[in-house]
Amino acid sequence: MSEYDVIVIGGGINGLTCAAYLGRAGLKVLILEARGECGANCDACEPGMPGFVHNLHTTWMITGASPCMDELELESHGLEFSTTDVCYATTFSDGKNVCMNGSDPFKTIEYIRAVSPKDADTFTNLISVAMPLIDEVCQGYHDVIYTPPKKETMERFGRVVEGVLKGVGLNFSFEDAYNKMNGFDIMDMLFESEHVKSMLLSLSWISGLAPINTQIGVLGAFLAPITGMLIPVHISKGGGHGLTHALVKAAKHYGATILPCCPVEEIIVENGVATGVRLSDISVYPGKVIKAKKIVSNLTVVPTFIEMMRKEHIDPGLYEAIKQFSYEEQNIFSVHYALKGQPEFASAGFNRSVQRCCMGYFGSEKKGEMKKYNENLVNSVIHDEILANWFIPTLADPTQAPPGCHTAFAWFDVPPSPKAWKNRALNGFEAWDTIKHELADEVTEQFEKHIPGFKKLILDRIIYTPMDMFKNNPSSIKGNWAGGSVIPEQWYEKRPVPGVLKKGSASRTFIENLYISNSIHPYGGSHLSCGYMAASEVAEDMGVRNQSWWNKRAMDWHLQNSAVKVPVNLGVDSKWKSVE
Amino acid sequence: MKKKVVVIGSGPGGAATAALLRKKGHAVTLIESQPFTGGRCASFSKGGFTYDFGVHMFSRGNSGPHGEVNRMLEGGLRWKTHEPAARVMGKVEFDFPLDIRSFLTQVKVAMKLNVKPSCYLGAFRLFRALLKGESIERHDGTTVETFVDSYTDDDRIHLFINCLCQLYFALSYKESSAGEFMWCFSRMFNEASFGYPFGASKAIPDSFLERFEQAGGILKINEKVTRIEIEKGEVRGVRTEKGFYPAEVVVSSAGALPTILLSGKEHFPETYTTSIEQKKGSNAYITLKYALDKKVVPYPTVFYMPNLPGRDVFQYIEDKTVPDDVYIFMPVPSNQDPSLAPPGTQLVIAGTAAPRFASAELCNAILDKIHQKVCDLFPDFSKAILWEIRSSRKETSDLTGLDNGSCIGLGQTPDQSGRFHLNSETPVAGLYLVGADAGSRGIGTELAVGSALNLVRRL
Repeated sequence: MSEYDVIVIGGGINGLTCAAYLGRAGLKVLILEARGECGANCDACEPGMPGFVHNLHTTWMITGASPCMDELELESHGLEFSTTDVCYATTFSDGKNVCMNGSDPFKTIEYIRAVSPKDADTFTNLISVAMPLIDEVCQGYHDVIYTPPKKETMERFGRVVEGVLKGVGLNFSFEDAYNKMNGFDIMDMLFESEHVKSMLLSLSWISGLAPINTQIGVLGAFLAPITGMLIPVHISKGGGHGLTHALVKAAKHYGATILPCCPVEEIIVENGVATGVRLSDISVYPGKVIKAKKIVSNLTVVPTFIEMMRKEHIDPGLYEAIKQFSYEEQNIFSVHYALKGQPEFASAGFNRSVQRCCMGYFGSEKKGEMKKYNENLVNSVIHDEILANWFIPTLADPTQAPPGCHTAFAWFDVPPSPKAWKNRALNGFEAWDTIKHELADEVTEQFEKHIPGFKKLILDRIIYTPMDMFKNNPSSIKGNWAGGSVIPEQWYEKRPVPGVLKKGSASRTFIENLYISNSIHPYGGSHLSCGYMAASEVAEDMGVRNQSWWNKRAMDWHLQNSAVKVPVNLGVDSKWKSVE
Repeated sequence: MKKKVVVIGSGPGGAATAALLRKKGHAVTLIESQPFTGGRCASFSKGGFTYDFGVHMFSRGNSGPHGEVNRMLEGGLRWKTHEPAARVMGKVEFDFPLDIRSFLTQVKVAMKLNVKPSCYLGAFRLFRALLKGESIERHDGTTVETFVDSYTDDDRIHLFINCLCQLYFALSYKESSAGEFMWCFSRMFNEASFGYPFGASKAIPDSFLERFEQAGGILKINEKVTRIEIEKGEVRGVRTEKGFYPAEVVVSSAGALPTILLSGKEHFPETYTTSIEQKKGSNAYITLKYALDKKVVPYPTVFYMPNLPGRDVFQYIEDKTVPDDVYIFMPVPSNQDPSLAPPGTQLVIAGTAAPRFASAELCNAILDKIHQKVCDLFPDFSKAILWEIRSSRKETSDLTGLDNGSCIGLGQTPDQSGRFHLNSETPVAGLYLVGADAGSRGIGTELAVGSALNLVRRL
């Protein structure tokens, strides 16, 4: 007789999501967290000057588009979002910028028109054709992100994209493009202005879909233009850990037990069936064995199978393949600043809207620069020019800094084991502690270029490298935030490693009763999809999937509530007020 | 120079004028013909229920002219706003948000309204144009129908806007001015302070009158004005059944035509009189007030859109017939201010538009239709009714002094809106108009209070 129905190893956001769902479905769930607190990769803290909250991990929350919003009642468990109406801006050293307005695509069109009337017309056409298809787009997004990888799903999504492109006069075969083109090619096909292209490509990239790849880059290129409109740009009130806190509250509310400081030593497998776990000797219950009907590992694929499982349970060929699983992309370097005032962008004279934008990108103005950067990344070289995603979270949520003060940070993809930077040979992963200050200085200079006077505003600076990320969370091997590289070899049906998952499943592994909610499709992120899919499959196998509350679709909450419930910073000219 | 002023009528326009002029130091007497104050905003009590005479929609609440006058007078008027603002019912049912500025909300509204997907973009462009409220003057001369047609021919959008026009102006969208509609829509949704005053509609004029009397203004009720005395083109004072009030300034909120008749047509140029006689009034509004023995309607306000083609939903007003299905605006005052009904009970006011000069039989037949519809919408409704009070066209006429039963006064049609709207000035020196007829832009009582603000700034 098992003590628990389900054990979830790892209290990250996806483990918590999975546990909360299963708890709500009536199962007895235990979460074992190795650290003293949950949410290793969805955290915010005050590592420097007091009063300044730094979002060392997740900042851009797209949880608003997740079915979990309704199904786990995350709002009532304390999750609050805030945002700015200008949800994204790419600033350029030629003094221009391109902004995106999350609440009004027509404003986005105006902003684009300032750099390229032709692209503005293309954007208008795309919207006018896509809008009537909003239901199909939402369904497509749900299917692609929240259901197990299936060839037909991608084909169906492809037909929606084909329909839209046909409406703007492009005869386009999604299947061909998906396998042969990359994100850069798609953008070249649609737009003329480098400014516009780099805005959309950077969006795709920072959401985890690097443009240089086939398949992934193509998907990213088509999802990027609906960012703001359908894929929300939200900041969790009080800092990124707001999402973790809400999920912990939800999991507990639905009856799950959370044990912190309980690293798991071994997943116990008997005759190819997972039956329980043995806790590590350094846990608060040293060496304790806990049995359960189902085990969900929320660790990435290498710790799950190579470190926590005896080699004899795994086919040698598969064992080697798992060991080769790549963690080399989606590793980030970030620099966080405490500022004593609001930054003034150099491009504010071109379009002042950039001043009320909480998330943006810089460094990508030269044609081909982004492509070179992406190529360097693949070759483990740190790119000379800093192309980075910047945030000023305090514009959307002033509570993250003392009154009048702001926080800002920039993060960008780096090779976790860099071989070279600026003609200098580097010794891989170990190099981070030696180069981090120099690299951070480059980031500061890039900020200064786009925000003259930025340096004078700095009160404090925090650097966070892939090495720091790994130390904080050893499941994030090499500091990978996505549960492993998002590259064509590890994408969709091939994710994480062919043979790990049962055919047609998103999370059921080759070990009976063992599920995995990390390193799986699509990749770890605030969309919570991995936890959602693992929960769905465990619930199906336990016969409890059929719940009246468990029927929401992606975007439902966002379409219904976001615009009303998420406070939007509209800048100084906001007239918004409510009266009791 | 402090002047002797007589204000006729204690509706929101008259009350605001009197209080503001008194605050400026003028000697003001306010004369009200009815035994109660408030004019069209009057509320009454029965068995612990405080109900409004009319159905009111205060689109701008505290941020509109009511709020502005209240702040000038340092009054105690308070508003209740709701998010979502109202429950839309009919073929589709959903909560209508107060803040629709975001594109996402517009997507949601379009989806919920059941707009044809091929008309989405047109609908968004329409919402956007209405919210932006630019080039209003240019659109004054167009009808709302034409304006909407330039964006979309989607029936659901036409139905929605048509019903909203009837709610704003008591006119179908075929008769309403697009500029005026745009002005009202952009202010209502940008300011997002659509609300209901605590203490029912009468709280608005009452709070103005309270300040007026505190400041030494003289209020005469139940005293009918028989004549506005004019000599040599200048106003001399006001004669009532009980006496004569000499005045240098007379401000009438009795409506344009009644004011001319009280003064005598001979004092006005014929062109002025004829132009006013030819002006078209708004539709009549007829209402049912329900006292319920329990809470049946869970929403602050219900906006029922009939199951009829969008363009022709108000054809019955032209034809003077009973419609197959009827548009209903139904505020639930006790959900907004619980003190308006005894604990555990509910006060519901349901109203719709009726033809000008509608007969008592026709009004009753339309009210029957409303009653039947409301009972259909809420299954427990009919059993919960303690009593109902009907106000048909005649009661409105008695209150407003307008035979046609127009609930707002002059209609906000393309040729009577914006710069074509009547203003406070009259050809007689010292005689001014306030009230809905003399307002510049706005919805119902906002016109009246706005006209008071404009006049007081000039005097």
